[in-house]
Amino acid sequence: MSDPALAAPRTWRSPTAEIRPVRALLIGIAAVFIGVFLVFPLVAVFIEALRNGVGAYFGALGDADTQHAIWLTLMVAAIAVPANLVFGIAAAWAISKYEFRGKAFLITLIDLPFSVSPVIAGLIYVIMFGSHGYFGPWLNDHNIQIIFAVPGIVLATIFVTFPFVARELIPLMDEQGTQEEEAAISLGASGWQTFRRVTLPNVKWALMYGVLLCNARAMGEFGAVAVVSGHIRGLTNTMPLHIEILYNDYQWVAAFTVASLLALLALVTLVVKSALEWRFGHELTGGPR
Amino acid sequence: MTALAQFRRDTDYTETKISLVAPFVDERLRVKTMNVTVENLVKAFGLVPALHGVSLEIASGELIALVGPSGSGKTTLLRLIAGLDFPNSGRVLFGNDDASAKSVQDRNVGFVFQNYALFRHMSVFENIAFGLRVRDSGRRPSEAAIAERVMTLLELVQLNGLEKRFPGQLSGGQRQRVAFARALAIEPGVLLLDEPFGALDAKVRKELRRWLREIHDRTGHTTVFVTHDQEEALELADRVVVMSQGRIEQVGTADDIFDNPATPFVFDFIGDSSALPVVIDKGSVSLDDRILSIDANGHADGPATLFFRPNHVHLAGQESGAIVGTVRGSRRRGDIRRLELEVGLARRLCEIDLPADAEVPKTGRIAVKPAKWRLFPRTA
Amino acid sequence: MTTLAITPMARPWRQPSVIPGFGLTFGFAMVYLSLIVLIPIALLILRTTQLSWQEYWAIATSERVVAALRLSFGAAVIAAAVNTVFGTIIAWILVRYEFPGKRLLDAIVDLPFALPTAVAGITLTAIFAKNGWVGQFLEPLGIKVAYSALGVVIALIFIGLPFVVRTLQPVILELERETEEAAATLGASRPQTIFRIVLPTLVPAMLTGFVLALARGVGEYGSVVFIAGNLPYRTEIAPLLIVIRLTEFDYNGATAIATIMLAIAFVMFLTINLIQAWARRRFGYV
Repeated sequence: MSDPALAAPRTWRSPTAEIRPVRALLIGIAAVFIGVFLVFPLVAVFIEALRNGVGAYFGALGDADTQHAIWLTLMVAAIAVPANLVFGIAAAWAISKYEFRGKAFLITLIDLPFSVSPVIAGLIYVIMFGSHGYFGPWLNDHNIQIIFAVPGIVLATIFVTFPFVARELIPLMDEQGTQEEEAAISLGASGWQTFRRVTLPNVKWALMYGVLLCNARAMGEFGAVAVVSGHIRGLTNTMPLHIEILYNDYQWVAAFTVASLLALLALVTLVVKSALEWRFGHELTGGPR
Repeated sequence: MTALAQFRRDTDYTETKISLVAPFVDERLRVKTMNVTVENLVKAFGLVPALHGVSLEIASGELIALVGPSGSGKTTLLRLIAGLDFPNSGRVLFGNDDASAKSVQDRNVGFVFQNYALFRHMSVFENIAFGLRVRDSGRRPSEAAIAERVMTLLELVQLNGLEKRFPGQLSGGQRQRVAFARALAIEPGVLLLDEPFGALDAKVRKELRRWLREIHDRTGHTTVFVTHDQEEALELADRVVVMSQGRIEQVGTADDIFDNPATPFVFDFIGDSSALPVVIDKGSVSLDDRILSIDANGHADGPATLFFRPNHVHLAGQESGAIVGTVRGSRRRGDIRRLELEVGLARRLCEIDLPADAEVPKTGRIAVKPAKWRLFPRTA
Repeated sequence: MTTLAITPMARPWRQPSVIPGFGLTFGFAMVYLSLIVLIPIALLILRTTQLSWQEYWAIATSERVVAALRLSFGAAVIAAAVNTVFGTIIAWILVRYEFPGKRLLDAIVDLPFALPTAVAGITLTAIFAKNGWVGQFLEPLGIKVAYSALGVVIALIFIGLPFVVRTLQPVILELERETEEAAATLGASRPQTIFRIVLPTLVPAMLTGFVLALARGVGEYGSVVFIAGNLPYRTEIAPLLIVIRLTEFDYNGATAIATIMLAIAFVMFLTINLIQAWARRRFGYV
């Protein structure tokens, strides 16, 4: 559409657009707000990390505890993300391809971890597996450690990233209906073949989108992991926890160096997410955006 | 029936029956109407042209229909008159006032949108009162005056008792009437309706059509409505404007349009018709080198298109000059039989109506002659 | 949901289907959901039974807990309100206007979803500390952001913004332009149309966004603990108090506070659903 304001005399105004100064003002307000509250902190991470130069930056990255934290973070994500991926696909299949009572309630339950404080997400596992928890004494007797150990971190991470894949897939698969699957079955395909050759190609971008968000949260989770980890350096410290320790030790540059890695991950996530939305928007949500 | 039951019936969810009373002029609703002049309007959306210099005179108090296929520019024209869009060039005059430079807010037009565009968070009452409430304090009527006007309008559109409802609780026809009352509330100089019955089912459409005509007679507004339904346009309007591809093809009464189509497009668009490519040579009309017994009526020599309507055709004997074709299909339609005829080398399909008992030769080849026809020169 | 007019008693729990795999996928999903989410939460709630009502009440109403909940809730309300105002403006310009950098702005809105909370926490602190980038200018004005309740609000504004924007964007996109045009033909000025027609239509979505941001803010931990002073009774948020109780091995204290917060989350969740049900009934859409 042409901009009617260009050709029109000053006395004519478009009935559905604000006048130019108002538009400029609103865009200005939005830009300043986003600039101050979002862009500024993001930029600050990198500037603080490089405050003492590139040498100090890579020096901080070379630290053994830091490297262990990076390794642990990658490992936790490598377990939590596939676990929730499998769950998300199974749940989306069961919910979108069949009609049964209580479906809406089930979807609500899947979303539940989003409305629970991350600290409580950690707490529930401490209550279960901690030394004073339900199964604590039994685990103790058998020399199994979950809390203040890697299994607890994995569990807490799975909890907080639980709904990501499912909630991307369910609305899309629901909208796509069951006709294509029924056609495939009627042509003699098995259930697995139907999923792999018919359903999966239809939802692959939404699936990737869900995995992307799930991974970002898995690597960056702080509260839930802080509760279950015990903060043991070189053992149960993920990157976010390591940032806290360095920060509290007044190792300012080292803390921001580790933070900059996570900020980079966030940036990559945003770029890929925007690219997916821009390129495959209609395949992510079902309808045109 | 008790009063309560009567009330319930009247305010029922389903379509309330619209009673038609003899037209009378309602002085409470009479407004100063004005004529509208459209001068040379040109409008393009980006690079896509929508109107190519359209001019039109609309008389005060006239009910006029803009009809044409989708993309013909009829809605664009209506929106330009309203001031919802701005033309690239040309003028719109309300009376002698140049309205071109005025914003939609200052034009005082009543506009009824195709999907009604009711305010969903407001009751029916508040919807209708909106145009009065947003006036400057100097021009705003008192609460009592607003209430009185809303109630008068609700009575006019026969929705009394529904003023507390929300649009979501009304049927399509009821919403349409609320939109109508809302547009009338501001005492518009001109009433503009965009496909006013487009979203309704056939039965409600017919009912509301007569109702609109009656309201128009009672209030006397200069009214322009857009429709793609030619039957609606011909039945309802004082004059019909036929549009195609951003141009006005013809303006006239229903009789003019139907009996004297000005262009091939109008002949083709309004009513059923068939077209055959013919050649005019020295005053005689020929189809595939066979001379037809059709008068060229002074048309210049050269290629032309012969138009006729199915019901203006009768069977011819073996005399020369008839149109000969092969019957490809036959459908019974009430008292008549409609035949599909394949004519000429180009195998053009023509439709003709014959009496249901007319005998059609077994061979399937028949000769017909149009009693009324039109020739239009063909370019290219 | 099916709309068949069959009584619930006669309706089978599941409609028959030719597509295989229901038992496997539904079974796996239910087991996984139960093990990871439902059973642990149920056991947490069950744990409160180890406390008598008097003990529970004493914890819930102890000065320190009340102060922490009041801070968490109060700061979250203020932040969500700020985000509702600015988030609506941001959503509006992202949907309605064309301007250079629009796509970038749109992408950046999701940053709080993607940036780990601990990173947000330390960087916000660095900016707003009294010798920080912004803090050094606020300090002479007597405005103390870091290590104060204001810092908590700032962190929660950061965290909550995308909830409001992403809730409103699709709703603004769906707004019928014709409704605004109708208001204009009736003589309403643009501001009148905005305040009487557009904003009232957006109220349900704004409320939903507000409650989502609020719910997230009440439970937020990572971004807040760095910038809040964490002083008992003054700048200590409720989730932090849970962590403190845990480090003291006071499981009962932690559980009591956690269940109060779960109850708050539940009420807010209910509120969202009521808002949406109300909007659907009143306007026929969400």
